[in-house]
Amino acid sequence: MHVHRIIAAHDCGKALNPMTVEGQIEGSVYMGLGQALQEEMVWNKGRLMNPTLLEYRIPSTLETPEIESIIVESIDPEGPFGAKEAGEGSLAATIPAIANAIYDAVGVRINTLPITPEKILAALREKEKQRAGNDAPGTNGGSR
Amino acid sequence: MTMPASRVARPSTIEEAVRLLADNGPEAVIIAGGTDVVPNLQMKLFAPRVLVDIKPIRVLQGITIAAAGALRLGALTTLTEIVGSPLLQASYPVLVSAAATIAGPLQRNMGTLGGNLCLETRCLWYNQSHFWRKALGGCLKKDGDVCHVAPGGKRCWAAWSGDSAPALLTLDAEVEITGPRGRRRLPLAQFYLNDGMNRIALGRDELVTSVYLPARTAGRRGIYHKLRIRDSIDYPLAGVAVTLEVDRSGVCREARVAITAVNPAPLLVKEASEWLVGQRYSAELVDRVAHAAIRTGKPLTTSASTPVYRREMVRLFARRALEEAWKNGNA
Repeated sequence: MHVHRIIAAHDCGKALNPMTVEGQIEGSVYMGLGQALQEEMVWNKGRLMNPTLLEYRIPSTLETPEIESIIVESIDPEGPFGAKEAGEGSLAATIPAIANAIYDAVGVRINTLPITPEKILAALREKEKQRAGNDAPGTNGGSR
Repeated sequence: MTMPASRVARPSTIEEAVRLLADNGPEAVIIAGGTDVVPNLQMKLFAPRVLVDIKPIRVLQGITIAAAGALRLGALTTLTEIVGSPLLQASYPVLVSAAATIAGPLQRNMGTLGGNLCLETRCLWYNQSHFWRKALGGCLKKDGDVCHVAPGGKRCWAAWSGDSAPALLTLDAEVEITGPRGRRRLPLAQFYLNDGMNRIALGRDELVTSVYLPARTAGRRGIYHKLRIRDSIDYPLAGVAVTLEVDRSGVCREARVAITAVNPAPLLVKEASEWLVGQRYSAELVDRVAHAAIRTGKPLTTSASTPVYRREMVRLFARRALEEAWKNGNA
């Protein structure tokens, strides 16, 4: 599974420091990317099985794709100089964006994080099984 | 996670290193690049009185031509040197393919071939901090008497998690080991004992000094495929190395398939050579060999990924690697 490119548009009200806002967007997208695909705390009877950064896998530079940030300025009358936030807003959007991209690519919806190749494979198998069941009731179970 | 206090000895000759190992027995641990030893020391998986740093031993470095056209890789050859060697790229591509996947660039710069062949076996229940293991009450391999992977069993299933060893197995490589009684050479396949606790046939007073690649396997097509969750800095969750010699008419003359990270040792798939030699490519044949690879593998829950998925990937990688090596040459 490779994420090739992520484009994120974020309404920050007014970009007081556009470069910092871009940095915030990129950072958020990167965090969302990790949560979507790799990061997971694995528990076994109350014991954390992956307490180090070797096995709690945040993306490295090699997994982080090109990120294009688009700053949207709506000038919030309530905020200081029209500014709102540029914190983790883009994080939340990154996860469903990746889930949708996977659905678009292979046609299965994964509803738990992280979305691993293993889960996708299981979902594809399940889909195939259902299709085989629908297409050919009473035969020996389809094409595989 | 602090390191236990150890004295560091820096021998400049092999003889001196062997003497230090012999004098200190189980109290000594060899260190070269340190990419495996240092994290293990931090987790207090062992607390040696003496660290024998073999980096200053010049004769252990580099790639040279040995007798009978064999290639000698010194134990201190770094993984980066292997990946960047035009000689290896041309003659033993499977090794380059495997070495390029080991950890990340920083570890490859420091990590050595000898170290990669002598890695500690790995397990979810073993590679944890001292605090974590103490709360658990230890495991069969360290400070306890229960295996949490296969409860009731008396065998340690910690997985062999090296990438270079399976590639070297497909090249019929030999390791040279030096100890107080001199040097000995061993086919790499005999170096691994398939026991999570006693992983390699290396005495406490011995060190791996070289790896020999025979001339007869030079030029073999080959490729290594590795399962990992992220593309950088991950140990293999499963891995398959393949080498093939295919003649002009497309008939296979030599074949090796080796798997890693799914047993306490890297293992050759015995059926592969038997079934492939003398044959032409067919999807059915490749599939059969891939199934044999699964039967050789015995993944248990020693890592984050499930055994079912790892088995599945062994089959897929074996099939893919054979197809690539057969059809495209050095893919």
